[in-house]
Amino acid sequence: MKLSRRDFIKNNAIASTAAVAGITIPGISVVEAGSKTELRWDKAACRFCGTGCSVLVGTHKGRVVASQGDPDSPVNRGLNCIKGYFLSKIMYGKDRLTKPLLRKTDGKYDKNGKFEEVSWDEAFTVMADKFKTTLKEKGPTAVGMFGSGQWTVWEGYAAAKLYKAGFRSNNIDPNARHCMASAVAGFMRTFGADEPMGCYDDLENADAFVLWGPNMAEMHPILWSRLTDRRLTHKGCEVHVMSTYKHRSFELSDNDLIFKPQTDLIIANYIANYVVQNGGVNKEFVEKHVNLRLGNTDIGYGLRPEHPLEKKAKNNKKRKDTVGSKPMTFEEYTKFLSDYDLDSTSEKTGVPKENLLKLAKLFNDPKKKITSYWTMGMNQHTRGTWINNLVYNIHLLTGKISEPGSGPFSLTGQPSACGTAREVGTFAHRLPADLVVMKKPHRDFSEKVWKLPEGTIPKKPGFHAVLQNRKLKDGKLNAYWVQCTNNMQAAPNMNEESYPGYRNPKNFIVVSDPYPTVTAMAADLILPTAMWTEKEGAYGNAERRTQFWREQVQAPGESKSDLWQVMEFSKRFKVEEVWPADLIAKKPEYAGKTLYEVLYKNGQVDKYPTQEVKDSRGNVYQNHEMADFGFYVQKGLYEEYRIFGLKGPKKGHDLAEFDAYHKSRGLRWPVVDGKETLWRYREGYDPFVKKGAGVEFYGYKDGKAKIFALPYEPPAESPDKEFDLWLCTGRVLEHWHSGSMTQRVPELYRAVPDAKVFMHPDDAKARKLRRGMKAKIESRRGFITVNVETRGRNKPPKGLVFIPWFDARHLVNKLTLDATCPISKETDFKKCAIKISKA
Amino acid sequence: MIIDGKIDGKNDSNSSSLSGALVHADLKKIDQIKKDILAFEGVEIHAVDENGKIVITIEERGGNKIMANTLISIQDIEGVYSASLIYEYSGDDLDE
Repeated sequence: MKLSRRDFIKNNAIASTAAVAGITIPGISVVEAGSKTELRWDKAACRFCGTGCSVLVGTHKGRVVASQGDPDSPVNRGLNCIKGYFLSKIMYGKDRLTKPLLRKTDGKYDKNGKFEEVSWDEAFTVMADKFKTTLKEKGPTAVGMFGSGQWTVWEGYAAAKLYKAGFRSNNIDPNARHCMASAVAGFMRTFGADEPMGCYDDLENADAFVLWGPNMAEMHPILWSRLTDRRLTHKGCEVHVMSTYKHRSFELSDNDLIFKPQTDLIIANYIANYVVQNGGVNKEFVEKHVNLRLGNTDIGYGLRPEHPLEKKAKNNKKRKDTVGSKPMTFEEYTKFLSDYDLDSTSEKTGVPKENLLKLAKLFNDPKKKITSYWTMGMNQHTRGTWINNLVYNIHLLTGKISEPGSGPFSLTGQPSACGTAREVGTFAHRLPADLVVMKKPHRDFSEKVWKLPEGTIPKKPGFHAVLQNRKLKDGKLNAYWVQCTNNMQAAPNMNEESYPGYRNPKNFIVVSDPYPTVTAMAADLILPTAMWTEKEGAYGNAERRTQFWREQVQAPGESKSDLWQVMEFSKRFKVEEVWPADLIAKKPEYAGKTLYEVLYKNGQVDKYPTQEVKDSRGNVYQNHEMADFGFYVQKGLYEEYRIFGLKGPKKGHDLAEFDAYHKSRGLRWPVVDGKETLWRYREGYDPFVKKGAGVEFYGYKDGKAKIFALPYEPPAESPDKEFDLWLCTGRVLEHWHSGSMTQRVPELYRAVPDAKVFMHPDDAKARKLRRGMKAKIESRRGFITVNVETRGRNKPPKGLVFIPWFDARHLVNKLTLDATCPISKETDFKKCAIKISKA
Repeated sequence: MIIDGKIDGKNDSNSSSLSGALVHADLKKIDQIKKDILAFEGVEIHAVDENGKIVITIEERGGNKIMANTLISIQDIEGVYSASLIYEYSGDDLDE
């Protein structure tokens, strides 16, 4: 019998699926390579969310044509979510950019000109001229960069180094600021070290899961399928779901808690109060491993200083007041909590008493292993750092932490929010491996690793994401580069801040992207960018797992990776053009050199010569950066970066050597003697815990974590008579974030083309609206027009509506307010006041 | 005053896809769920196990782009816990 290509592919589809399910189907097995399928398969980390699934990428005639859940991946175990389907298509959108585009009139750069194709040389010449002029006239604080939790590890590292060391500007911040800065600030404040202590293995070890807002069913489907398995097969397993509206994750819920926006602060304190009152406190644990602190209150809302709310607030003028706290006794903490009783909590949150009690009793049960999950609901919050602290409080009080099945776990939304944004330290205040620019010993260490003169790195934190847009608007930030993110669509208050900032005549805006996004179209120069498997890459997922992939296919046209762009651009600057004479005098051997030579050809990054990139089956892969720069760029950058974890002042950040990651399905740091760490701070799992200590939160010198007493404080903006509804923004299953990739997959575009406003039928009726009708959504900052949905997958209670932000034609961030958590500087995209009328 | 995106879902693809997916379903409702699944164009069931795990394929013909919608709709069937993609091929050479 002659089998067609279709028959072969189908046979493999069935066999792979059955293998993942553990089902044997007679007569069906995977046909091996060399057969008619002729695909080259190699592993890569998924391009989308922070779960970090590994996929097998099937390449045929230089094009990615297939993908498969990686059966050897400990994360997704052969599964893929619907987005896996997009992976083979995201690189092939019809409007893919292939040449640099510069706004020009009559053959010359003009901010108000039309985009014209230019050579890379012309693009970099104009760009370097703008950066040099700005540096000369205004100094390093007038140049900046906005980066990404989708950058590969070495791209983020190279960019941070160019800015902090090369340009001597800390004005580099990632889009992760919008995403999990509150989790970072929360972890740093409570534990003195960033990132979760646990890992995904908690999913198979917990007795209960508590969701503090996330819609995991849609946003983290693979983790949700593991959670579902546990819920259905482990006797007594419970799932408690909190949110401000009902969504898909409630289908598996044993306890529904729909709360009024911002009152998660009250719920967390109520649970703490309950366990203190009802014997749930693990006294030995608290005594040995915890310090109690009373946190400062009235800390403002991260708005512009002239905003009435900022003028009124007490502890928002100086950083030390905003983050300040003082010691307190357990008696004082008990008294503090006593306000949060069942009756008042139920009244203020809108959650029925029985549901609150059920959740509190769960935490009070010493035998239950509990894992808490959260994403944007807790992070995008004007008290985002606080609510993170308050959830850690509960896990610390009960000792349910750093052990299989128990712990607080922040899920991330981007593939390398952890690996790049956090670990590499691409934030305006950070350096690699949990170091910060404000501390001299941290700067000293970094300068030593980077072979720089003392005093190169500035000590003042740069502009964070929201502040960058404000400074652009105010004309204080003038030469600006955006890579690997769509911030015009993502940032809050687009009408009043982002757009006027980008189009300010004083500013020169560069955007690197594979596609003409909203952000790219608002720029002055667009650089075409190689994406995902068009380059060798590394991502770090939410459970501290670092994963590598090889370059699979060639990028179209003249597209170049972000890494190539950063390094090539650095060749345009002589040290004398960016550093003062007295700094160069400390390292006279750098005189006359380019930033490229100082930062990347420094004897360290260029240590590994060009080599053949080969997998274990003998397939050979391209590496364009290696070919262009003449050394193994990715390896050199990574090995230099690794020094920060191995020898830096903050322990517990050890990574394995470069080659180990190409051979494995990722490793969870700290990696010591080739062994990864599943649960940090616990003896027996974490090699950095002192013998006999049992548990040691070594992020702080005394080995103790901190419980913070922090109250409820109201949101920056709440519904009133005129703007009478809450607006909550968020994501949908089918589109990833701003939709710049997934909206280009025709099937998905057809399935979910437009953002809708999800609202309660009674709210619609009261405004003479019905399902499918056009509605005008208006805030104090702007309006958009979208269709009404009253029966969809998201079911808001009366008084609240939900609009997703993926849709470039209905930009919900024209409505949102740029209020942030004053500590983490992360925007609250979940709460602002709007009104709705017939369009 | 302001720019809006001009995305129209265009993609360089006249191709068809063939995929394998794993559906996890409530055993108590499995007969109805199987019927609902088979009602979709291009869908075949290849195996069902005692835990409610169903092996299916979804085949597109002539570039009809049904796969994403089909998988999303299967996810929406009452009693389906999850529908996960395992294997996906997309090309214009399937019937060579």
